[in-house]
Amino acid sequence: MIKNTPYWVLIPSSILTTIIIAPLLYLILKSITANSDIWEWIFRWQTLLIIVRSLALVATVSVISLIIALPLSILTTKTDLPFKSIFTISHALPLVIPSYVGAYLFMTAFSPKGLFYKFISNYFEINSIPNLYGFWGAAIVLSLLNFPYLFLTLRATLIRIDPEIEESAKLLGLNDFSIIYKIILPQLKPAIFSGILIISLYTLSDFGAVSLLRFKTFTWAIFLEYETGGSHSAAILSVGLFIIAMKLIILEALVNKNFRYHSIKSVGQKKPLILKLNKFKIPCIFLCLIVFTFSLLVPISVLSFWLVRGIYHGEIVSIDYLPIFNSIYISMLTTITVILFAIPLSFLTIRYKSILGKILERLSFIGFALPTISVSLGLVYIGARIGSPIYQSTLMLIIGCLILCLPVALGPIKSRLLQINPNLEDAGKTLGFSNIISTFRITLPILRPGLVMSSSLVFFVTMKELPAVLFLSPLNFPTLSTRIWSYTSEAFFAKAAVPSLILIFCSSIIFAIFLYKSKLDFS
Amino acid sequence: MIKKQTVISCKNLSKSFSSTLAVNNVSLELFEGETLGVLGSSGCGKTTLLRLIAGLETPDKGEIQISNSIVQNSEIHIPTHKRNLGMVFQDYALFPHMTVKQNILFGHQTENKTTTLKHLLELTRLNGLADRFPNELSGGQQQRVALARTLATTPELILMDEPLSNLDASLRKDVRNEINEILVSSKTACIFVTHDKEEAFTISDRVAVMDQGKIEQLDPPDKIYFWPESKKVAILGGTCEFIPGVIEQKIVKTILGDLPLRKPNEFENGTEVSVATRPTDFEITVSPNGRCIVVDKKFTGDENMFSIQLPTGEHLQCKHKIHTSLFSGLKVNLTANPHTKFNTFLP
Repeated sequence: MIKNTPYWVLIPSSILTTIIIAPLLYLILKSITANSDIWEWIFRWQTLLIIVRSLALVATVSVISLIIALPLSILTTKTDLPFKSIFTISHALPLVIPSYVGAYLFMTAFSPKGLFYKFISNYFEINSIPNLYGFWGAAIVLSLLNFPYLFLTLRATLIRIDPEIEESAKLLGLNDFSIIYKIILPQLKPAIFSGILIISLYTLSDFGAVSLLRFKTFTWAIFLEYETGGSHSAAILSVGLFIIAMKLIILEALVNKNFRYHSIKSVGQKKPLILKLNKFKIPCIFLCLIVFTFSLLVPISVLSFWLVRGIYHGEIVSIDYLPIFNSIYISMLTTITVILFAIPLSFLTIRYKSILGKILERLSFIGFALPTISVSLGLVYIGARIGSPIYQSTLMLIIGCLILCLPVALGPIKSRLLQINPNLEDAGKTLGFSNIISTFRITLPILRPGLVMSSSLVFFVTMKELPAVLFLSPLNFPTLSTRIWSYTSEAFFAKAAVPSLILIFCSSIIFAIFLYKSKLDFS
Repeated sequence: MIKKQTVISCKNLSKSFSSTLAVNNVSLELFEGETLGVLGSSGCGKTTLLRLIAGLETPDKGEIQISNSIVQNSEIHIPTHKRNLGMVFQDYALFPHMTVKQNILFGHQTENKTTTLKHLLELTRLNGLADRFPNELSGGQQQRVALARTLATTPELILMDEPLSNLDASLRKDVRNEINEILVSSKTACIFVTHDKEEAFTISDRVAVMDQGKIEQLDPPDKIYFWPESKKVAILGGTCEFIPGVIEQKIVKTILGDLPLRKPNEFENGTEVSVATRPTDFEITVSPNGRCIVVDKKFTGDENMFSIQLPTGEHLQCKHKIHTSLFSGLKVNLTANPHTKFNTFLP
């Protein structure tokens, strides 16, 4: 079957697979060759504690996100809630705030003597508010910033539920609430589990929030080991993190295997069923407003406070353009690279159903389970082995971001490619164009909406990315994310406000393109 | 008589997918301006045959020549885009991101684009639709765009894969006649695949009846209908039922009397055979001591189709005039039409 696969598909796909598995293989190799002292150091109570902490955080963030996202997604799709589109956008927007920015704002607002304390101490006699650093701080910040992943996943499924199913339920005598409970929720189960998987993986691999809020999970522990020169122990912890992430993915696949009977077909022109909220309308609006306030309004207000204060006290004198330029530069290079590799890989898995294609697809999936910090660490060690010109080069940073962003990019391209009739390319061939020209003139233009969606997602993820940049960027290569992180960890809160605002502003533009394109999916 | 040029010839083509033999040792020839219909039920390998000729699939065995140059044998595989043929797909495969004009001119390589476009729009009656997108067209219009797009490359041969199956019944006849006219006026050779015998018979100069990857018979439509060479062809060529009979002195003796044979010398006296009958072969006459009984009547609008029970208990379909007083339960006799000759096969 390989002989039918064109070279422009086969070669990039093979290179990609090598790039993806190399860091993991290196980390495993490094773990195996660690001496007995290190293994003794690994098998102690602290390591178990790290595992427990990480899993507890994952579970808490998943539960809180579900409690927030489930009602909001149903309200914005299936009811007569007013301002539905405004709420939809505002509940997706927290994604533009990186976790380290969220953590920095949370720290300065809700620390024992922070802004919130100063604000209420004007009115009440209190000494301090409870310390919310550590577990609860990380859990709240990560939930408020990550619930949109679940919200968007649930919405996508809710929109595609066939209204005829709900109508027949109504004809069979169910009232509105029974329809939600008996018809809609059971159909949502697979989406809930896949959404929770995404949130779990992001929580597990989050570095910014847990490091700033001083909650020692895997990622921060790996970083501390790396900083203090414990390369073997950092490698072992990275492999451990990878194994946990892999187990979560397998768990989700096993759970969702039982739900494949749900038929989700394209609804087309049918009108969705709208449930009347009646007397619950006001409480529901209130619920949406609360989430909006804490996930978006508070962070932006605190950020604005620091900006104004910084300008007022003369701490912010001018804007440093270098990190802005570096962030955009890296994001652009990564986007181009990822798209160039994602197109052939998508073609390989969808058009050329060969054994090789299947193997490569499975392997590329590893990228999804590989936490950024593990990838980065693996690449750093490989880079250090090879030395210049690879070590601490822009190329290394882009390779890291490529592995990180590939699973994100593949989704929209593959689903779009699946919709394209293969006869179109055959038609091109019968009209006198070679295989590759048919692909370029026919399939690629139709693929464009998927490409735009993928590109905006990749750009967006790379702009926000922190650990990969910390580990892999060349010397003296500040980006917006590293600037924010270093200012914040050294408590220059006002100085961190400008790069944070710029980052959020750029991300919002890209995110708006993504949201706009995902609605314009013509067929 | 001028000998016509061969446009395409296939020799011993075979192609299998995993364990099924989709195309089994197929040979055929097509002359310029000729239309060949490939008739067969779904899954008989007819689409695979088209895709082999187009070069979209590679045969396991066999040779294909287009205009006397080899495009496919065990060593040579000329890719699709160099074979100078056009193909109209079952789902039309119009490019959704291009207008009618862009679709039609997509493969057109020469200078005079405006003239070609004007000519093709007129030929396919698409005037005024040049700037529409495919999703703004009806099924019949999409069909004609697909045909115009193919004609724009002036191919020596057009392949059509079930070109009418996506159209509703009322449109089919019109489009069928249009395709016929366009093919005649453009003088292009055409192979077209269908499961509908009426389609195959009306458009084609010759029909290839295909079954389980093999060509059972390749002949003009009337010959397929009146001179089927096998039971399969008799069935695929139209409504057909079989009654048992015995050959005797160049006729065949059956329950419905002695019937004349189309090929009197085919079988020896005493051979037991199956006699193929068409609904038009017998005349129904009402008789109080008739040996057959009317059991069912189906009125289709253009005709009446009766189901007649024979003395042996078997049922036979018979056509009868529209204005009739026949009804279920009536005793009747069946007599063979004077001009009908019957085909017989070994049971």
